[in-house]
Amino acid sequence: MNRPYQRNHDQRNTRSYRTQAALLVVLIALLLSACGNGGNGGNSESSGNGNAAGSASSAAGGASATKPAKDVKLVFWHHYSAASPEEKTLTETLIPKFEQDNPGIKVEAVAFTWEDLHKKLQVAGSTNDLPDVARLDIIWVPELQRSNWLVPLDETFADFGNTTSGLLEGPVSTAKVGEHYYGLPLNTNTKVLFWNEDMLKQAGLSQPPTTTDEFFSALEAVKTANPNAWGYGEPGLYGWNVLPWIWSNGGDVLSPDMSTADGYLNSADSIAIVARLQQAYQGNKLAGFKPGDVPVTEGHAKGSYALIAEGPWAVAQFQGQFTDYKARMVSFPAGKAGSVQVLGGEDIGITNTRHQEESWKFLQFMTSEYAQVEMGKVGQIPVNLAAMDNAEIKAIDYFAPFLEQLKTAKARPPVPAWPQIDEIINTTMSKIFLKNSDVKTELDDAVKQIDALLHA
Amino acid sequence: MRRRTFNLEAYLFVAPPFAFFVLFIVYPLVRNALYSFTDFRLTNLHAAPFVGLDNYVRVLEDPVFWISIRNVLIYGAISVPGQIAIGFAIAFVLDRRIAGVRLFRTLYFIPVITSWVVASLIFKFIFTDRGLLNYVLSDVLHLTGEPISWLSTPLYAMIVLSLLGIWKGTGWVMVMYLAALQNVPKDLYEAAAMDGATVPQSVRYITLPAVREMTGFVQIMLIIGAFNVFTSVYLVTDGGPLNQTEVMLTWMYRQAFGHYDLGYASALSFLFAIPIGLLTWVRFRLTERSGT
Repeated sequence: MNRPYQRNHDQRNTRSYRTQAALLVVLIALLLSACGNGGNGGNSESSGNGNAAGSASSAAGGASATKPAKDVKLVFWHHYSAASPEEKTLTETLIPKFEQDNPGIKVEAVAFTWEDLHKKLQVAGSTNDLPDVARLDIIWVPELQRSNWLVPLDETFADFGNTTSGLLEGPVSTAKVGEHYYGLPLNTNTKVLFWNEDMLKQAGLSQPPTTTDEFFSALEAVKTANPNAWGYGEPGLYGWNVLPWIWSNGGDVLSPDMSTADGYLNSADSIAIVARLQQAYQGNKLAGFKPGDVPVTEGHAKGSYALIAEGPWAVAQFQGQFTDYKARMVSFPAGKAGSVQVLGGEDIGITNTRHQEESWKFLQFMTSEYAQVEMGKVGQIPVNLAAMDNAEIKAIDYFAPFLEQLKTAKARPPVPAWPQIDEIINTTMSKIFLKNSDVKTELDDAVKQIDALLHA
Repeated sequence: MRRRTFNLEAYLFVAPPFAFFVLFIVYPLVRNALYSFTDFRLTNLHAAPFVGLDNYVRVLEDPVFWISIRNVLIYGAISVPGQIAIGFAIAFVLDRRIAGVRLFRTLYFIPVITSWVVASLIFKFIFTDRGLLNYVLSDVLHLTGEPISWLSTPLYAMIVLSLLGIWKGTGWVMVMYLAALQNVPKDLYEAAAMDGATVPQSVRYITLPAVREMTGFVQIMLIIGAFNVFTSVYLVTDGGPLNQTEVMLTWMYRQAFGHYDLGYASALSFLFAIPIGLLTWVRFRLTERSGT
């Protein structure tokens, strides 16, 4: 009599235990996003707290900002690469020098990846946890300015004009939104065509392609000579990757007044060049952007991609990791509109911090000849005129092709919605290449989406 | 008959875990539910206007949502039976006193304690276009000329991810079955053998019915696990190309922390909970009805 009851009882226990266990698993699944959110919040809070504590103590301790009783601590967020000597130069050479020249000011540098820094700034901005100073990709400035997170430098600091007069005009303009300037340029860059001499020789070519037509026939020749290789490697399908092709062929992404993409991204010139690239992709002559592809820079040095378009940092990577490979560079293949590459680079901006004067000093230091030369030595093309004339910078021979390419380089449209537009370009191009969709249909569709964003 | 009495000590004992449960599970769940009815974005934490069922409508109209459901079903359809079949087979073989049995049990369990991150990166290395598998297939065995794009062909990629799931989870299934097999009376096998039953017959009529309860448990845990697949997808394909290998959690993560669309991600999480809840309920109803 006892046993059946017990069995039943045990079973019920097991069952309810299992129900609970299963329920718990479901709940944990649901909570995944909430937990992640909490983690992020905690992170930004900790740096924000430090910031707030620092400013509170300086406000309490000193009567004015000119003579703080305690050190002012500036928090500087950046995405200098930790894999290359950039971050080391920043933390071991530049910041110690700045702190030595400016007693009473300490700089805490916090490194992020490019992608994380963009996210982190947006989240920190909405929770008032921004750092004092941040390094900004030039394409983020309009977006961050629209949120009112950046200080207009020309309005705030009397010696703004004096400072910028020593800097290259083009890069200075990258921080201009509307009538005002929201940053100083830190470095500039663009991409050039890298060519693997051995691979081209094997394909019977002694010279790299200089025009779009030569480029496409080179792809053909490389494929014939080496079916396992690709003529061209492209790591992504964003504006950074595809716009040089479109621009060089006479197309564009937006109208000059940046009010519409209609007639530009879907113009005959844009369609023609994208269709040509699509054809090359279908012929397995270009690769690099889909999951599972050989990484582009590495593949270029190791004989998978004969041609790639990359920035000056690739040279540092070749020198560091592929010592047998000698990088060769030439201007990007010219289409009917010339050889037009994309302008890249970074600005440095000040947020609505209490330490504006100290931050401004740091900005001036980072754009000074000394700092620009040091960063130039690790591959960051300077924007300081005196640094450009500096003997140490002139001795860096691989800057020459980039400086030549910069003369015709074009900036991506400085509209606040650019990050979203860039996503649309990526998705559209992915459909065109990976799904072999009709180029015109896809570009027309992209234009509709972009125009909706522009008029939102 | 038991009388209900107020037992202070019992409540005090229950209170700490219950408080923990409320704070870390109930509260976030409720907040998450509220977020799903608002346009709440990571880029603007101060404003979360109420939008009613808008987020749910957006999710249901989103083609990637359906792709992610499809992919989870493919993943589950391959990895769940795969883990159960292989895990059971290994357990069956290792459920006897033979030399080296402990060593083999340990070896088969190692993938379970291996980090998902490490396992995913190794699988990625094997299956990239110029990876180990393509090298073996084309350069060693000369079976294919062109390398096969395992990771950028959606169906292949889902198969690769399922294989990773099988590799990673089989050891756990084995341990579960080993435990269940301990309770199968050995004399049943002896009796069957005397009646002339073959090994497959013994498995079919003795072992499988005896471990049915465990099979049910393993099944439900693996199905829930399949719905929760994240790390491997995130690291091996990252949902690409073109969101074609997105699964429920990677899509939810991308919405929340890629697009900062927390309201949408919250709605997603509740819609994703429906199939998991349903499956759990169906499974327990089946267990109850079978009366085992």
